[in-house]
Amino acid sequence: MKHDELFWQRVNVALDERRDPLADDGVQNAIAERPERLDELQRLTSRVTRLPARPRRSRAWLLAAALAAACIVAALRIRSRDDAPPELHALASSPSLGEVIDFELTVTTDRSDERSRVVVDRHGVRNERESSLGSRALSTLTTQVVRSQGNTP
Amino acid sequence: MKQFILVPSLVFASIASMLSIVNAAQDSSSAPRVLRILDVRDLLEADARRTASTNGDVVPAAAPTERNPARGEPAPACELDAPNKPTPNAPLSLATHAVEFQEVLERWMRPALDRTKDALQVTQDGTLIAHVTAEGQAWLDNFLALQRREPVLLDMQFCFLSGKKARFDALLPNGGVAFLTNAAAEKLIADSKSGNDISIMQAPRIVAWPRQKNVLSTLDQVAYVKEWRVETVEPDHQQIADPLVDVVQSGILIESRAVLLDEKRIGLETVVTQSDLKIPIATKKVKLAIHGGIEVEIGQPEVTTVSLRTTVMLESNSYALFRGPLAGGDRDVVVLLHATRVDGEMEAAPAKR
Repeated sequence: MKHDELFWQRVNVALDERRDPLADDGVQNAIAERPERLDELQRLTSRVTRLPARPRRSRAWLLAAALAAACIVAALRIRSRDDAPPELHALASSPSLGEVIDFELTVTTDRSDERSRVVVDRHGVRNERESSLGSRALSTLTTQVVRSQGNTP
Repeated sequence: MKQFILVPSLVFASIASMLSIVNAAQDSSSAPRVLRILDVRDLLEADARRTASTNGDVVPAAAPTERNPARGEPAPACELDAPNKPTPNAPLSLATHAVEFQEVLERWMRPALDRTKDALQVTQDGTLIAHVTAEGQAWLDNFLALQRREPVLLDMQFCFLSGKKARFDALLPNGGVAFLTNAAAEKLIADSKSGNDISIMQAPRIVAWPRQKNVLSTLDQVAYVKEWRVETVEPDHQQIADPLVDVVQSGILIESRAVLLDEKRIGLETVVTQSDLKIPIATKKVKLAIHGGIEVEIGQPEVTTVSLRTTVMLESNSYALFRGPLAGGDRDVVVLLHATRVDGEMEAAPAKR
């Protein structure tokens, strides 16, 4: 009884997977043990072939399904592109006017006892100030980091 | 009912498919690479000839531009006198130009080189070995064809403006970059000439060959007493005050290289530094502990240096603007860059070898 259950279970799995049950090793072994199982299997397969075919889906639904698949592929591609390592993006671009690939603008003011420096780059604006405290000491203060944004007129 | 579902699906799916195609076209990382070997010796030889004929010679341009209108100083506008000074019998060293040509290709090639998959090398004898995508090969063909067309000179303009913050707010954000059309930028420069809350700090120009590295500097050096030292000297074991003189520089230093990218666009790599010394130099009185205490003066110069390092692609109808704050809080500096081609110039005669 238990062996029958295993036999039919393997047959069902093979049919579900659109495989020929007779090509399955387990099914072949089971038939070798009890050859009458082959007759039962042939009766089953003949009944299966007499079943009415699945109705064909309309072409519109097929088209919609294909297009939906295209949507999924496109979405996945866009997402994978976002995950890709960053390429060389323009900081500011206007297709008709130009493109800034990279830049660093530094404004430094030197006085006798003080140096102030402003650095503007793709990361933002950074202020630094160095002051001499007597002849052997120097203080450095970085005061501000502001994220900048390129604009496109 | 089916139609209600189908039509939006079709529209959305079409857009998504187009996006997918565009992404596929842009995504060059997975595209197969093509190996080609190209001869660029003629371009390297042209670079070498031009360098030999312009080596260090700078003459004033015909049309001067303002340097510091407030002081009425002469214009530092310069151009390299390329066509008329071939150096006879000078051997053309292609090694340096091969390296520079490779730098240019690596900088500007589109799609950008993927270091893990692409390979590009220019050998000393003028052979270009390119293992890049088909799209990259097409870009190379167009780029090389453009470089081989009739020679043109490139006119690069650099303009430093300072003005009240509010005057620049409408143009670009503080700490930002932007582009202006020629008309808008020229109006801004004209406003600065009329002293409309904006002033021109420097406005030099360089005219040079494409792909040629240029260095231009116009520097003033001012000596000043930085400090005093008390020295004990002979005879008579007397103490004297010894001034320590230092030099402060102001002016402009430009390093640049411009490349024709297509008929309208010019790629510009530049480091431009402008220093302004506040005149008169501030002084401070200090007392020296000799002869019962004598009073002397030291100079305390204040120098504001604006330095811009950038790589920018410019259309001939536009200026790139970069903005940063000046010390003091109420004024900003804006650097304008512009490049355009000068057609109809003559090629330098090839040097005899």
